Amino acid sequence: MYPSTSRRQPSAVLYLVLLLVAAPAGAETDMSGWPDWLKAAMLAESDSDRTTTQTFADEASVELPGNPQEPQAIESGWYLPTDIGEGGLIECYLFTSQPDLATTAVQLGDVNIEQMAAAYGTVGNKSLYHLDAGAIGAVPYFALDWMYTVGEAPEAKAALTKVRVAVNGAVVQACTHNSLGYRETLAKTFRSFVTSLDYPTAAPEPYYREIAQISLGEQPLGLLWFSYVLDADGDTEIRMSDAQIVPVGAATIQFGDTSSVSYSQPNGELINQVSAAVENGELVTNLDLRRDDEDNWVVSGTFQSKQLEVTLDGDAVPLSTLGQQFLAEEFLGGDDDRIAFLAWVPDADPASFLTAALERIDDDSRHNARMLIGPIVMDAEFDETGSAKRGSMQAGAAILHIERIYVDGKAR
Amino acid sequence: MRYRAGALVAFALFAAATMADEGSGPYLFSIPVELAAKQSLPLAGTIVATLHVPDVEHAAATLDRVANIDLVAAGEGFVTVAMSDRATLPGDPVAAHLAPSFVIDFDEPVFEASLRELEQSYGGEPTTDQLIEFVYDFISDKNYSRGFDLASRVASSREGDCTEHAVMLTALSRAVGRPARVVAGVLLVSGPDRQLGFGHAWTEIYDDGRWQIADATLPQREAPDLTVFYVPTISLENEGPGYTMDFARILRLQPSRVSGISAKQPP
Repeated sequence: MYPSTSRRQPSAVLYLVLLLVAAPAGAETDMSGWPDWLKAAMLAESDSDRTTTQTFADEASVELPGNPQEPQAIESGWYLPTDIGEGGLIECYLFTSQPDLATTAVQLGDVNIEQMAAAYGTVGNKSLYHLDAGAIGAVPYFALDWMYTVGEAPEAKAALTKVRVAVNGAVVQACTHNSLGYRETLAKTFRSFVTSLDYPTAAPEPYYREIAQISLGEQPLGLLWFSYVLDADGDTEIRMSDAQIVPVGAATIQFGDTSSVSYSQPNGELINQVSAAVENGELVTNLDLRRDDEDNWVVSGTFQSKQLEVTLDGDAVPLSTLGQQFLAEEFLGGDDDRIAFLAWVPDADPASFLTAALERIDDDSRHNARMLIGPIVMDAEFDETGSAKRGSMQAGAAILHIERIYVDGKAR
Repeated sequence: MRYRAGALVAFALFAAATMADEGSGPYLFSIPVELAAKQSLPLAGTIVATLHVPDVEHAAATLDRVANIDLVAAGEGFVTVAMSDRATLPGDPVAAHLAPSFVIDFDEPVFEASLRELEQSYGGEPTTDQLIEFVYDFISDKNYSRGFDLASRVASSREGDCTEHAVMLTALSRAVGRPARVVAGVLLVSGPDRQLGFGHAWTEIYDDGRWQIADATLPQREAPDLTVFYVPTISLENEGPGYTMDFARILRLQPSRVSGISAKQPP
């Protein structure tokens, strides 16, 4: 929308400036115009390399830098703070509840800022300082930093709430810190927390998994990850999640998570699927696709917070994610120029099966197939297993990029 | 190609929806614009502009049918059009333009309070200008945090950006018996010292025998020295649960930039 109000224009300009000084995906921040005290505070780090193993929940353990404090059981998991000296506490958490990556990152940031307000006074000048989305090995994570002031002038002080959140199997791990600086210390602490976690769960080991990073322009703002697990019947359970945090203003973001569990026959045909979506912290979609007693497909549940019940053609044979990968593998190894298939994409249209297609690209060194789903067209590079390594599409003035950043196992 | 079905669509639609509702964000969704050489500001009347679009054939066919837009040229990756500031999509009003739907759900109980409030403010037969004023005031929390909310959601949250304004105005217009539709496209804004472009959504209301632009974000109230040119590319045709896929048509039509903007020379 046209930012017509006079009150919006300064924030838009401010936002642009903040994006220029923010460090997208690890870039160095240009602090040349900053006052010396702020530069010094922003560059502060802990120099301790010592890590200590912390045990909790009987059998679980992590290694944390600094001086870890006594773990505390909390309602949804464990609280694991560590003292980093002059920088105070880095507060780490292990949540055992439903893992919504983006929602957790945003809400933890909000909680920390509220705590800062309770301690020091009114929050002002809040702006997004840093956003990143990536993977630590097989673990997808978000990094989200908010810069702001607390208290009233002339005593107001600057603060930087930094949040790192990862989905590690069945649990969510997070670390937060609220003072200026200590970004590398937090990153090191978080990495140690994630990679050292020994937390026994009953979750079965997947035979295949991937993580992809989604960026608009140069800004990473989303992740997609999924895994395949063989069940007792020889079918494949597919768990897929995506998360996004999209900055749309100086201090405004849109955020959301979706997750689905589907089952695929060994030949790639979809058996059933449940999907849920959380937008801006609110569960808006919770849908179930299955066959009824008469073998029709039935979609039921909640979509955009409204009840939905739709019967779809029972003769339709939608492909699972696994089936789509098989199809891409066969297509790229064959001679056809185009192949079409059906898919159920509840985010796009829960009330129908969408026809999607792959078209061969021969004249582009970077892409070997074009994916078409209605008006959505993405050029992509697939590997020989039918897995997309990267893809891009124009979305207005921005280019949407998807890049695989982790893969493990064999899909077939 | 797993991105394909699931997250590809989700993210692309997310981008599309955000693009259309928030051309606003100068970072992600504003559209770069360039004036033609030696062209001075401000622009008014009829202008010529070149839109660099992914799907030229579709864009040319679409824009050629828009009232007050003339297709001047089309080539590889671009269409050039001449337009006035009152361009509207073609088509006659049909029953669906008066009916509630999944998106324009003014039949939901939560919407009743909004209708009562409208009647208290402007009576039972509000004019288009009164409907616009009402929605502008009704959505008191103007922010960019929403994606594309249904009318009933807007009625309860009073929050949103241009898509929420467009959806709410469309719903209220239909509720009082005036055919209306949600439209999206490009907004070109010309002022004494600046020329800007944004993705945008607005409403078209059928009045006096023709579709007319009704923009409840009231950009010209906010900045009266600006001339606003609307370039409609889609109207929301599927207002059912598949509305996001329908809205995604904008992906093939939304320009990555607009160049050569100039005042149209008289013949």
